[in-house]
Amino acid sequence: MTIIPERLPWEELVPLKLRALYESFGYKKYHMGKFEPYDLYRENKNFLKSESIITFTNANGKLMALRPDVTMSIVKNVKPDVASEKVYYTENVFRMDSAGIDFREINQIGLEYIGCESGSYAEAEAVALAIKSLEAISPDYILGVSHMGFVAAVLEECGFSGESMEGALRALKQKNLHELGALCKRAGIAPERTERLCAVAGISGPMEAFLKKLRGLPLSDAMQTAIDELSSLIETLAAMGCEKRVHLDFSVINDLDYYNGLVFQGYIQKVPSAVLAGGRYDNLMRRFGKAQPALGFALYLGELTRAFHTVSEYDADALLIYGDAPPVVTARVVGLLMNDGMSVRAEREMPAGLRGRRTYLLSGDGAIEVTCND
Amino acid sequence: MINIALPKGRLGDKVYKLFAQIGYDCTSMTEDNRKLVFKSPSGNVSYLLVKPPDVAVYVEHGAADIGVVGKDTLMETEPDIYELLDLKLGKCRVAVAAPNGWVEDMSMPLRVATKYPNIAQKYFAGLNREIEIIKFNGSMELAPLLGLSDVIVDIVETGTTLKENNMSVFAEVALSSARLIANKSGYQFKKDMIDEIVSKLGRKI
Repeated sequence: MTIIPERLPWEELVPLKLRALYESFGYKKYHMGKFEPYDLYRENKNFLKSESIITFTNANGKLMALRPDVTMSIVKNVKPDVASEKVYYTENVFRMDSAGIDFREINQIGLEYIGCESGSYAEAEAVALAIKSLEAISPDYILGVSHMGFVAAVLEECGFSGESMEGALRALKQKNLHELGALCKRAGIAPERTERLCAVAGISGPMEAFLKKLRGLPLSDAMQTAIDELSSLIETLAAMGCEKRVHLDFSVINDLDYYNGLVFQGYIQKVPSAVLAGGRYDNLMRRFGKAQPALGFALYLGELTRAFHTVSEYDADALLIYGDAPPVVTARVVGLLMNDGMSVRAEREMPAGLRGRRTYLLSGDGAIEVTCND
Repeated sequence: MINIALPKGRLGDKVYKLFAQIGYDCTSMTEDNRKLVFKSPSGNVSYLLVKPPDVAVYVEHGAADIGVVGKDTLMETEPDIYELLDLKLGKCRVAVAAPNGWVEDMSMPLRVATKYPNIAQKYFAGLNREIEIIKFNGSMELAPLLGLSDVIVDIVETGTTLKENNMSVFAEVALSSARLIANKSGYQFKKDMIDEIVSKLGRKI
């Protein structure tokens, strides 16, 4: 029996492609149980997309959670002497749906590179894998990249901090430049500064071109370091041949408590929301008492399946109606059809609502009548 | 080809005229009919005419690339979209209104009748004021008159409706106006077209 990948439904084929991709770069599959102590998430709820977690009390009376996230479990188990850990996972997580109405089980495929240093080949490799993941799904993708260190530095330089910083980040996330301008005015920031902030904030386009624009502006040390990292990244990506659809986009914002550097989001044409999200989360590692740097990303297959799922036109290649034909004859016919590489659905009578690419009617004397339906 | 969601009603008509002026006209829109989807003969634009609060839903789910919706709706439903322009149309305020002469009883939770439970919740939480919300879909002025609530949180334009019901603005929550929003994914792939629309509209308002 041969397995034919093309026959697999989209939602089974893509995880296989991605697994092959990650394994080809030496990443190892990570597997974990579905339950984690609730305590793991309690202190770091802002890292999760939603605060809602399904909890239950286990047999020992301990409050457990149906995991909403895989990254934190991986981080929790990182050993201090480990210099490099490259893992990927394909696991179901339990989250509130986007409408906020009820919990759902969502298939998530992700990758974590513990020990991934910023501005290095390691960082470029991880981002390249994000790009190749998008490519495996569709050629019409865009990866938007930003740097939280740069964004924080730009906003701090303008005088934003604490609550006003949160407001500015919210506006930035929505590409709401008029709101950003209004916030600047309220904070008493000089008009030239505001104009420059909005010009930088509004950057959204092919990375190489826009990095050039930024290099011309006066930059603090923190900003320069971030720009250098981004430059190194796009240069290495170009060497790997995957720089073409990478955009610099400062509206890609992740929580500063966890993400301190590179952050990115992947979009696929015709899919209304981001399908991939990731970044450097050294800060999360520190909160768990781990010294290593780390970078990772995850793909949300739920969004994608809806866009790419195809309903097969036929239930089987051959629909064999055997009626009163002797079982031995029927078995032989099924065998012959299968040897020709067809999938065969054998039924005594024509079932309602089933469609075969071809219909075979077997009569009692062994004669076969064939109808082609395609 | 760009898909635009517009709110049914006066605001939608006004906004359509702006779009028509910048090259996105679609004559079937101005005909008196019950259609809700309009494709321009030139094929460069299609319009969806929907209930005002639903514009954000269509844009967020990608049925429309861009749309026009009030800031009050955006504050209430908080969709995950880009807000690209303040069209400065449909200006109004979201406000707390109460019957004239009403005095707040701080010893009881405040009963609030509103179409905007999320906005009301956030506003009063910011004041550390405990509230009970009764959700309505319209004509909230009735609630305090019938003793169902102490105040309402609603949009106020001229203030005439409040005046006619012997009510007035007690506190202003936020300013609202029509905003141009975009689907985050659609924006990535139609950036030039959308940026051009934003820039052209920006010059008209």
